[in-house]
Order: sequence, then structure tokens, then C-alpha cells
Amino acid sequence: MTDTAPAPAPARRWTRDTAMDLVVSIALLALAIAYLVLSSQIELRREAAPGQMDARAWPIFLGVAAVVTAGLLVLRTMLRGADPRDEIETAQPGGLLRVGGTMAIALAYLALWAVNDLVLPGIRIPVFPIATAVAVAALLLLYGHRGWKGLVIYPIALAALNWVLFAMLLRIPL
Amino acid sequence: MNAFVDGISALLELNVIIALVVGMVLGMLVGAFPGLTATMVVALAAGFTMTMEPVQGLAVLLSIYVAANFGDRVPSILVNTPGTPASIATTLDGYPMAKQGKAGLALTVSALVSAVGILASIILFCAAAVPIASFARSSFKSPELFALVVFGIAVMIGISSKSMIKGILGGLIGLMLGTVGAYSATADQRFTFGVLELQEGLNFIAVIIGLFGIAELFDQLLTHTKSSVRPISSLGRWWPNRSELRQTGRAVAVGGSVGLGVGLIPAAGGDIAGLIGWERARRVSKTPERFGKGSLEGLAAADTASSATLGGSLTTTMALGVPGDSVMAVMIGSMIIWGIAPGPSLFTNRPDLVVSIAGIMLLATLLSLGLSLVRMKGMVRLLDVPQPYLWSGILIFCIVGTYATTNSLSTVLTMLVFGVVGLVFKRIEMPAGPVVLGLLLGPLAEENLARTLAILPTRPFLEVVSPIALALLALAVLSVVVPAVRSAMRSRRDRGSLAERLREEAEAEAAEAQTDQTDQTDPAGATAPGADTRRS
Repeated sequence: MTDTAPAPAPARRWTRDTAMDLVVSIALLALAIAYLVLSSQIELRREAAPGQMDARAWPIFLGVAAVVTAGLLVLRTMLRGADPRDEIETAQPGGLLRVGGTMAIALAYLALWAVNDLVLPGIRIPVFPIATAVAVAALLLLYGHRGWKGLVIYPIALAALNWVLFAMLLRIPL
Repeated sequence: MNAFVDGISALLELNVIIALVVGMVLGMLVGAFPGLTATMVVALAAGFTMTMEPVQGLAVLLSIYVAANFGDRVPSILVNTPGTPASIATTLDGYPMAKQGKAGLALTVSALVSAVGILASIILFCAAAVPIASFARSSFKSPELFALVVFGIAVMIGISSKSMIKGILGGLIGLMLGTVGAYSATADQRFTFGVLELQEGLNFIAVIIGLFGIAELFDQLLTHTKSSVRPISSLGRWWPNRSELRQTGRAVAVGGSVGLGVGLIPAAGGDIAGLIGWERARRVSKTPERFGKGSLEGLAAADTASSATLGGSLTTTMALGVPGDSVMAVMIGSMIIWGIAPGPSLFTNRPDLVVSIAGIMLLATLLSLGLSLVRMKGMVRLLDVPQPYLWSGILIFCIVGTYATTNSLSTVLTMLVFGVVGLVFKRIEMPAGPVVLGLLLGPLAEENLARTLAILPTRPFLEVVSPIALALLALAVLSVVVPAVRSAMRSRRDRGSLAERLREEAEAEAAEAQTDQTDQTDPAGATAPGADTRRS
């Protein structure tokens, strides 16, 4: 008898997934509302004829649909919690640090790249390959690579490859 | 005849051949590294190909697309980890074959049947693309084109979303992003906030590299654990004998038919086709009990089916302008940048492109097959490349490739922002496909809806909106509503996108079959396969 008896419905709990879904869905709802408000404020050069579309019509339609859908998502998450995340791999300890560190290094790389090339008497030293090699070495360190060969040879090789491919072959002004 | 000669002669230029070889090598590498998807690298390569001639650029992108279909079978067979989602079904029989000491045979048969599948799909493309485009050109006016866009986005939502609400919201976000910039009809500025870079809209390449490339990279960084699974090193014999080849005939036919059909459905790709093909072949097989235990038929059916989708995807993309899968969505973006808009009028304006595209696909298939058969042993070593090298290389190429599209660092910032957005979407299981489709097709939808509304007051409704448009809109509604209703009828734990559900069912059957086998040979216990199939 006990084998066939239906299992009691689990009590709804506020899991981390539910909290994350709720935060994201509320953020999406706020964005949808902001989009809708901004849509209604689009400046028009001329009004559309009755029954026809001006520059506001399509964004307003999308804004209303997004507000309704995001509202439903917030409601559903509050009432039923998040769907089971069977297909999503669990975040590992140190994973968030790797992502945050990567983002920080990428932004620092862009800032360094934006610096003008160094011009010394008779010679112009491009910043891009140096910035690239430094960024790659920093990324390897962040990801736990400690071998000096990898930390020196690979960044230089990758920077050189990018320089040859983009600056020399594709003529992109790096 | 002129179109044929023009199409072929465009392929004979040295820079096109070089582009094809580069794309093919890239595609094989992409396929072989678990975690790198064809969509991710085609998005990245879109940055490189901006300055190329259309045929040269197509040679790079299409050969990546084709070659990734060969390379991704290697990790599926040797480490039970699909190189890309298209080879999920390969793990079901490929890995058991490798465990039985038949890895070499599995790799060879997989390469051969993949080539058969792609070649069959090229024939479909050659036969169907122009008639479909001609039909669409004569029958599709603004209402039908609007309905077609809605249909394309709805199918993508229906197939890729575990939660319909999240899928619909993803599509709406894409459509909303598509409204940024000047309104094409009146040049009114929308959501530009006085920023010059936003006047032409969001940079499509930056958005897709962010959503598919950076988001995938960040997800791997977030979830990476050191794997103890080692590639199977004993590969055994390589070539199938005659009876083994004969044995695969029926499976190849069934898998090929499934793949050709699934490929024509917008947004349905090789992952779904492979699983359906494997299941159909099992049903018609004389030895269904061997499926999931290392059956050559199962492997052949799965790989033929997933490969045979390529031509169908290409057909809907080029002839209708509706992407057949996410790789094709990226490719449409690149083609628009080159000044050739896929859609019903493409092949009327550029009939030589049909020949060039078919030629590129054919050459890429034959070269990839040759490389697969010659370099399989070497490719096994790729699985040992340390992840830090891969991650840092991908990030730098994403950054520099995106910069190359506009020569502006603000585009790179856009990419990084969408990388973070993509990661958040990934973690809450909101699919990126509908976002990209919405962004890509939104302006087209708006333009055609505006034209339809302008005509409507002047003529009777049914004279403006044809039965084709109504049928497409009805199908669009059904493709969202039916999965939603089915999902509501299932228990919450059993829910999932179409691809996920198919995979779970096939894996359960394969696991059952393997358990039966292990019970017969080793009553002490059994090991379920598919432990690492989510990494793709």
C-alpha cells in the first residue's frame, strides 16, 4: 500500500533559485515599465495618420506585452517558486571570483588599450600587443596556471598572433 | 548557365580557397573542444569576416558550420561529452562502442555517415531553395512576411524554452532591443539617448558574441570542475567491413530522412534531429535491443540525422530569411553587413550564390571528411589542452574580433555587457535564441506590420491578409501554446524544452539498455552513461 500511496506535496520553499528568479524577473519588469514609459515619450517629427503606425506604436505594443509577460513571471515565481534547474550546472566555489576577475581584467585591458602608442625618438611602440600579453598572463594566473613557460610564451604568442592577424593582415587600426 | 559559371568561378579564387581551409580547420577544432559551440565561433568569426567579400566570408562561416559537425563527434565518442549540442545523440552509442575497444571504428563510421547526411542535405538545398524562394517571392507580401517573422520567433521559443513565459519574454526583449536607433520610415530617434553609436541600432555582432560567446565562457568559468574522465586511448581498428557497412544502411536512410525534415523546421537543429533519428532507427531496427549498448546502427542514425539538418537550415535561412538554427541567425547578421539580405529575393538577385553556397558546402564536407579520416588520432590529443589556455584565448579573440567590427572600444563594452546579461539568462534558463531572433527580425516585423496596417483600410481584410499569413500566425500561436499546455500537464520536475525532453528520454532508454547488458555480464553493478552530456 505504501508503495502506491501518492507522495505528499513538498512544501514550497524559498530556494536560492527562486530568489534569483524573483530578483531577475522584478528587474525585467522594471525594465519593461521603463521601456514602456520611454516609448510613450519618443519625440515624433510628424504624427501618423489614424490607424497607421508611427515611431511610437511598435515600441508601445512591445512594452505593454513585456510588462504583462514580466508581471506574469513575477507572479508565477512568487506563487510557485523557480522551476527545477536540472539542466544547469552548479556554480563552483571560486567560480564567481573567476568571472568577476575576468571582467575586471577585460575592463583594465580595454583601458590600457585606449592609451595612445608610446612614441620615443625614432621609434613607435604599439600598446596593443603589450596590453594583450599582460592581459593574457593575468588571465592565466587568475585561472590557476602557474608554469612560467605558459605564463610567458603563450601570452606573447597570442598577442603576436592577434597583431599579425588583425593589424597586419586585416589592416584593423588597433 | 551564367549563374552556374559565375558561382563556380567565385569559388576558384585563391582567397576563397584559403578562407575555406581556415574555416574548416577552425570548425574541426571548435567541434573537438567540448564547450565551444559552432554558434559561438561563427559569431566570433563574423568579426573577422566583416571586411571580406561575401563569397570569401561565406566560405569561412559555412566551412566552420560544416567542419564542426565532424569535429564534435570525437569528444562524444571518446569522453562521452558532446563537442557541440548536435552530437548529443552520438554519445548514446558512440561512447559504449569506444568502451568496447571500437573507438576507431566509431570515429570512422561517424565521419562517413556525417558526410552522407550533409551531402544529402546539400542536394535538398539545391533542389528546394530556389522553388521555395520563388514561391515566397510571388506569394509573400508584407502581411505574410510579418507572419513569417512571428512564426520563426514563435517556433524558436517553442523549441528552446523550458518555460514559455521566459521564452516569450526573451523574444520580446530581442524585439525591444531591435527598436533602438532611428525608425526607418521617419528617421525618428528611439532610445538613443543622444549617443551617436546607438543611432544605427545596437551592434548585432557585439550582442551575439556577448550572448553566445562571452556568456558561455563565463558559465564555464563559474561551473568548472576538474574532470577525472580521461579520453579512451585504445582506438582499435578503424575501417568497417562490408557487413558492418550494410548493417548501417537502413539506419542511415531513416536518420537522413529525419534530419532532412527537421532541418526545414525553423530553429530546430542537429541536437533534436539526432535524438529523433536515433529513436526512429531503433524502432525499425531488426536489433533494437542493441541500441544504447554500442550499436553501429544507433551511431549511424544519430550522426546522419544531425548532419542532414544543415541543408534544411540553410534553405529556410537563405530562401525565407528565417534562420534554421542559431548558427544561421548569426550568419544572417553577417550577410546583412555584406549587403546581401537573405530572403525570397536573394536568389532572384544573386542566383550565382546558390551555386557558390552549395559548392562551399560540398568542398567543406569532402575536405572535412578527408581530414577526419586522416587526423583522428591527432585530434584526440586536443582533448588534453589545458582549459586556462582556451578560456584566455577565447576572451581575447572575442574582444579583438568585436573591436574589429567598428574599430570602437564602446562596441567591446556592449559585448561584455551582453555577456553578463547572457550569463544571467543562462542561469535562470531564459533562452538566448529568441532574443537574437527578435533583435535580428524585429525591424523586418515592424516594417511589414506598418505596411500591412497602411493597406488594410483601403481593401477588404481577406484581400490583404492571405490564408498563408493566417495559417502562419495560427501555427505561430500553436507552436507556443501546445508545448505550454503539454508542459502544464506534466509534473514540474518532468518539464523541459523539446530538446531536453527528447534527450532525457533517449538517455533513459540507452541507460536502461546498458544496465540490461551489464546485468547480463556483470551482476555486481552497472554504470549509467551520459554523466557529462550537459557540458555542451
